Amino acid sequence: MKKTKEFILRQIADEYLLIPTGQTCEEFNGMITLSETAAYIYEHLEEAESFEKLIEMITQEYEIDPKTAASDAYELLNGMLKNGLIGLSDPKVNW
Amino acid sequence: MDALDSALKIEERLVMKATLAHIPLGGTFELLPLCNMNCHMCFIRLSREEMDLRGSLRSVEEWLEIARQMKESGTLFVLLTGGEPFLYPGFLDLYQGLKKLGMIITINTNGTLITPQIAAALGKDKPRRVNITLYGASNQTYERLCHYPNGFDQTCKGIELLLEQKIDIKLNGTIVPENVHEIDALFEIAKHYGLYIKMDTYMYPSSRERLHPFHPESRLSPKEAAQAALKIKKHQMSQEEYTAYQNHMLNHPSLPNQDSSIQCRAGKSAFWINWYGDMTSCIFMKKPGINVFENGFEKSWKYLLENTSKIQLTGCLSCTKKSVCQVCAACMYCECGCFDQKPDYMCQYTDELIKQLEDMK
Ligand code: SF4
Ligand code: SF4
Ligand code: SF4
Repeated sequence: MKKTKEFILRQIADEYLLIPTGQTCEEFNGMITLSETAAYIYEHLEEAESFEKLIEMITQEYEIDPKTAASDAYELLNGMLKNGLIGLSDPKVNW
Repeated sequence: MDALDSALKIEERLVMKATLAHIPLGGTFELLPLCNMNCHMCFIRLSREEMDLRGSLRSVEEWLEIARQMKESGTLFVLLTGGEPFLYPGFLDLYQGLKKLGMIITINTNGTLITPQIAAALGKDKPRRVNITLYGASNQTYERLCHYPNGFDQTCKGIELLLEQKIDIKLNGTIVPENVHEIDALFEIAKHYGLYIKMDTYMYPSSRERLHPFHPESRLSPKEAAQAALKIKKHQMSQEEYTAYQNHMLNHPSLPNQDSSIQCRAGKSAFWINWYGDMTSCIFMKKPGINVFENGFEKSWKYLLENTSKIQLTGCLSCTKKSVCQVCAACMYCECGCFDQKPDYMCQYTDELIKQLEDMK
């Protein structure tokens, strides 16, 4: 997976925010809020070479069982894909 | 829920959290005291010679270094102002540097110096908003008030250039004796461009930077200011809203307020840094103040938090009109030079508002 938009991730108080910059300001007026895990996923998704690897990374970082992590991550990534925030970096393997 | 609505909700939530947790969420960089215009009532503008006597401008890199420290402390919103910020050398470099840090930027300008190049650069990486102050609705008023004969035409040009780039604009108007006859025309201009305009009729009698004291004749009398304020409300409110406002003002709760601490965000989650680096809680207050370039941001913010919380606004404690009066710490500071006296002008202004609303009933 790769990020396709210019956002800067900021943490302020206990809020995680995606701040649009550059051309992305055209499409997103204002900020997007994320949960702590969603922010972790957004920050690290380019480091993971597969969905499984990403889940492994999440479960190492947070006390969460792999099944819940996978269903949360699946939902989040799908939402981000739908809204054009991320895109497939390797369409052959759907990742 | 549309994007703007949710953005506003997030913002409100952030402001509330930041104010409670004393996070410096929003700050202003007053980049320079120079301005191409020279308005009667301005309390910031200095000529180049006057400025040179006080100090020199800070560089883009110096501001960015402070911004990096601000980011560490949690600043998200930055307002760039002056004087006229587009006269600041390296303005666009600073702007772009702040954007790269993840700051959300608003710019306050008189709008006269916006060139196609500036508009295009801002259009490529948009600010959250540009606030343009309208000083009148004609070149004649700009000449009388701002000593800048073609100011009106130039401001309109600036607005049009930004609109072409689809940049969000808010208009601000300060109503003074020279332009009070143009309130309707100002609303017409806002309507013509499809923009929101906010007009203030109360002017803080500040002489902050200038070498001469505030001229009382540069603002409206309390009676005229109240008249103008009600005229503005009529423009902005539906009949229902106006009646509700009238009722609120006339039936103001009469319990005297016992809380004498500062009620706004100044020095709790908001701060101001003037062009030579003094960091204060609000544009109008010189104290508490600390030089941020000498002390660093974190230390300066701590100093501001601690010392702003000591301010007690005791001048209005026994007043029963506090809930309908717009008095604030800066108003007391500017009107009386202290926090333990009633600011006479504001009392008269509030009384006038109530009286005129009563007469209308
Ligand atoms: S345009 Fe603004 S900064 Fe310039 S002189 Fe007028 S009030 Fe002052
Ligand atoms: S002008 Fe008044 S309300 Fe505004 S920040 Fe200053 S003290 Fe607060
Ligand atoms: S300024 Fe005057 S009217 Fe307003 S709260 Fe203070 S004492 Fe009351």
